Amino acid sequence: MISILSAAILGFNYFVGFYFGVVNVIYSLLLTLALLVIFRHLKRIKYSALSEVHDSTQTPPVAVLIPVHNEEEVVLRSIRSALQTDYPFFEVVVINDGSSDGTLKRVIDEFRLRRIDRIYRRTLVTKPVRGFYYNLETPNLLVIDKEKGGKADALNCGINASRSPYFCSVDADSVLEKDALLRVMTPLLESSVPVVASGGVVRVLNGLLLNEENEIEEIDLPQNPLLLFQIVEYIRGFLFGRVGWDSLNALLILSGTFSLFHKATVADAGGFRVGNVSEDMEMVVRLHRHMRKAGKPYRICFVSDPICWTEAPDTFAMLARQRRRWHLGLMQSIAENREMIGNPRYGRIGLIVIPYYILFEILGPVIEFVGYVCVLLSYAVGLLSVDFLMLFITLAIFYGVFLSTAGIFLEELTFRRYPRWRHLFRLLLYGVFENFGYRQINTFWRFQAFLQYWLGRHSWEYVENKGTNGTNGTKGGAAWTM
Amino acid sequence: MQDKIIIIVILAIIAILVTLTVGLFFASIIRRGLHDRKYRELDRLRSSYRAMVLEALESGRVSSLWFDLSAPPASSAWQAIEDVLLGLMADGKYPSDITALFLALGYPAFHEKRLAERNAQARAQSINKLGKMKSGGSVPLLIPLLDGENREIASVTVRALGNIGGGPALAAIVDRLPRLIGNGVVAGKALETTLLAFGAEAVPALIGRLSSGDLHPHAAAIVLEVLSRLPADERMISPAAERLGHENPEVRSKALKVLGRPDHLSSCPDLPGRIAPLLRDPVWYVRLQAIRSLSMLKSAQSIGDLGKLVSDEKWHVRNEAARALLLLGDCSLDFLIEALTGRDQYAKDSICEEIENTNFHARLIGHLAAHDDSLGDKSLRILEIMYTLGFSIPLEEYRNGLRGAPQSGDKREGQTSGL
Repeated sequence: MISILSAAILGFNYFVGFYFGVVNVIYSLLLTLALLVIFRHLKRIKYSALSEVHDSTQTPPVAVLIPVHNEEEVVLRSIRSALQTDYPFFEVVVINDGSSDGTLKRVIDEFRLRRIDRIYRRTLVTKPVRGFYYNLETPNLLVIDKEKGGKADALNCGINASRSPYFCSVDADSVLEKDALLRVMTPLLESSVPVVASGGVVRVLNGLLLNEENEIEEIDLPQNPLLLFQIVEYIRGFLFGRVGWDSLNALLILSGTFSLFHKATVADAGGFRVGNVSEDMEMVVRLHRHMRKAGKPYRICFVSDPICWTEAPDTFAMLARQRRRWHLGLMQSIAENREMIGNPRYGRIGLIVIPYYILFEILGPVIEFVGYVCVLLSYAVGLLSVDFLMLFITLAIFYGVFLSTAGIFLEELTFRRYPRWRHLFRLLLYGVFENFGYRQINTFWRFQAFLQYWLGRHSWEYVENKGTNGTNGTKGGAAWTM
Repeated sequence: MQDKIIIIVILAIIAILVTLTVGLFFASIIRRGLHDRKYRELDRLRSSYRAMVLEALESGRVSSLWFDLSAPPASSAWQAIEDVLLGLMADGKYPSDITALFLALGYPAFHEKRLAERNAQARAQSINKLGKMKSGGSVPLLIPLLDGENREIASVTVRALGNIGGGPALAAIVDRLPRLIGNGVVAGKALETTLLAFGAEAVPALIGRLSSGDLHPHAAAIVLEVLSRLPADERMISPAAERLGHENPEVRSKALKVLGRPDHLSSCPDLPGRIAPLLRDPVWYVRLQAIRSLSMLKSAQSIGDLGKLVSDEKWHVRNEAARALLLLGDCSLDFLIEALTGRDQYAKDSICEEIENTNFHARLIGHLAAHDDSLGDKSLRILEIMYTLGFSIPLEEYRNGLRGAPQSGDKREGQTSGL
C-alpha cells in the first residue's frame, strides 16, 4: 500500500516537473514572439498614420465610458483626464451605478451639470436610469445616474446612451495618456479586416505625480514593495503575454480598464454579461464566439504603446481580493462559453487558446500550489532526490526570474516609461525578488479562487480605491477596479 | 552514470538560465546607457540646429545653411537635421524653403536609394519620410510601389503620395482605386483621408473615375464620400444624381451626401425633388441621409414626407426627421403638434428629445412672449405636451425664469401656472 502511495506521489512530482517544463516552453515561445512583434511595432510606429488619424475628418467618433460606483475620491481625476484626451471626436459618458456616497454630487458640482430630459433606448436591458446630467459648456460630457446593477450593467447603459460607433471602457480610478485613444484606434483604421476590439497597455498609477490638469508630470516608482511587484508583473503581462497572443491572432483578454470596442458588434453579441465578475474577458471570449459563429472576418488586437495608468491595490488584503476576482472571472468566462472548448468551429480559439487557458491558467495555480507542497514534502521524507528538487526549483523559480528580467528588458528596449537609473535598478531587483514569495502568494490566492468556484461561490469581492496622487483619504464604500 | 548525466543536464539548464538572466540584466543596463547618451546628443543637436535653421529662414538666408547643415548620412547630426526640418514642415513653416533645403542636403536622394532595400520596414520608413518631405521628384519612384503585393508598403505609399500632392500622385491613386479597395490593399478610411488631402484639385479626377463605370460599389462609395467632403462643385451633381438609383444602398446614401449641399441649389434648383423619393427608400440609412440632405438644402417642399418619417421604425430616422422639421422653423409647428398629439409614442419621444437637443424650446419660449398669438399658442401647446410626456425641463425653466422676474409682463404667465 505504502509503495503504491509512494509511486503515486512520485508520479505526481514528475508530472509537476513536466508541467512546469511545458509551461516554460510556452512562455519562451510567447516571449520570442513578443520580442519579434515589438521590434516590428517599434519600427512601424515611425511610419504609422497617427498624425493623419488625428487630423482626418474621417476618424470615427469614440465614446469614453466611465462606469463609477462610490468613487468620489477619484472620479473627477478620471473624467478630467478623459476630457483632455487628444482625439478629434469623442464624448465622455460617466455612468453612476447607484453610488451611495457623494460621487454624483461631486461630478454635478464640479462640471455645473443640470438635469436634462433624454430618451433612454434600452437596446441592451439594464437597470432603470434615474436621470441624465449635462452642461452645454462641456458639450462632450454626459453623466447618467442609474440604479445599481454592477459594472457590466453600467457599461451596457453607457452603450445604450452613447452616440458614437465605438466606445472605450475606462475605469474610474484610471488616467489615460493624452494620445492613448488615438493610438488604440489606429489599428481599426489601418486594418482592412474589421477590428471589433482593441486594447492598450495598463500600468500602475501609484507613484506618479499628476499636475492640476491631471496630466502626468513625473513618472516615479512607489515605495511600497507590493506595488513594485505589481509594476513588474504588469510590464511582463502586457509586454509579452498579450503581445505574444496578439501575434497569433488569439487574444482572449483585453483589460476592461482600457479597451476599445465596436459598439454595434458588442450590442449584437448581447452586451456585457451582468453577473460575470470579469465582464471584460467574458466580452472578448463572446466576441470571438459571436464573430466566428457568424462566419465574419474580424480582428481583436492589442496595441503595445497606448497607455492607461490605473491604481493598484497597496495592501495584501485588497490585492488578494483582486487576484481571486480575476481568477474567478477567468473561470466564469470560460464556463459561460464552454461550447467553444475544443470545438473546431471556433478555430484556433476553440482548439488551442481556450484549452491553453484551462490547462495552464485555470489549473496552473492548483498544480503549482499542490506541486510546491508535494515536492517539498516528498523531498523532506526522502521520496525525491536532490536532483529533482534542483530541477523543480530551476523550473519553478529561476525560470520566473529569467522571465521577469526579460520583461524589464523588453520595457527597456521599447517604451522606457520609467526614466531614471534608479527605476531600472529597482525594477530589475524586484523582478528577481518577485519570484521568492510574491509569486507563490499569488498562486495561493488563485488556488483559493479555484476552490471557492468549485465550492459554488460565484460572487465577487470588492477592492477599495484610495485616490492617491493628489486626493486624500479612503472611500466610504467599496468600488470597482480593473 | 545516469545520475551524473541528470545532474549535468540540470546544471546546464541552471547555467543557461543564469547566463541568460544575467545577460538580460546587463543588456538592460547597457542599453539604457547607450540610449541616454544617444538621445542626449540628439537633443543637443536638434536644439542647436533648430535655432540655426529658424534664424536663417527668418532672415531669408537659406542658401547659407547648405554648408552648415551638411552631415554624413545616418550620423546623429544627419538625423537631428532631418528631425528639425520635418518638424518645421509639419508646423507648416517655410514649406518651400524646407523642401529646397532637403533637396540640397540630399535627403530625398538618400531615401530614394533605400526604396530598393529588401527590408520592408526600412522601405516603408523611407517612403513615409519622402511623403513628409513633400518630395515631388520622388513621385515617379513611389508610384510603382502601389502595384506591389506588400499591403503595408502600398498603404504607406498612398499616404506619402497624399502628403506630396499634385496631379501625377492623385492620378496614380485614382487609377488604382479598384485594386486598392477591391482587394483590401488599403483600408477605406485611410484612402478617404489621403484623397481628401489633395483638396479641390481631386474633384475632376474623382468624377472621371466615378464615370468610368468599372468601380466596385465600395470604391464608388468611397469616391462619393470624398466628394461630399470636398468643396461643392457643380460637376459633382450629375454623377451623384445618376447614382441615386444605384442598386447598392451605400452608394445611394453617399450620392445623397454629395447632393445635399446648399451651394448645389443654384445650379440645380430641382435637387430637393430628386432627393425626396429616397425618403421612402427601403434601407434605413439611405432614408436617414435623404433627410439630412433635404435638411441641408433647407427645403420645406418635402415637409409632409418628413412629418411621416417621425414615425419611422428606426429611431435614428425618427430623430433625424424631427430634427429636420425643427430646422425648418415655425412652418413645422403644425406638423409637430399633429405628431405630438398622435398615437405614436416613439415619434413623440423623438420630437421632444430633438426639441431639447437643438435648443428649439428656447425659440418656443420666445414665441410665448411675442405678439403673434398664433405662434404663441402653438408654442405653448407644444411645451405643454412636452411637459405631460415627461420632458418638463423647458417649461419648468421658463416658469422659474418668470418667478425670478415677475415684472416681465409675459401674457402667458397665468396660463402655465396650473402645470
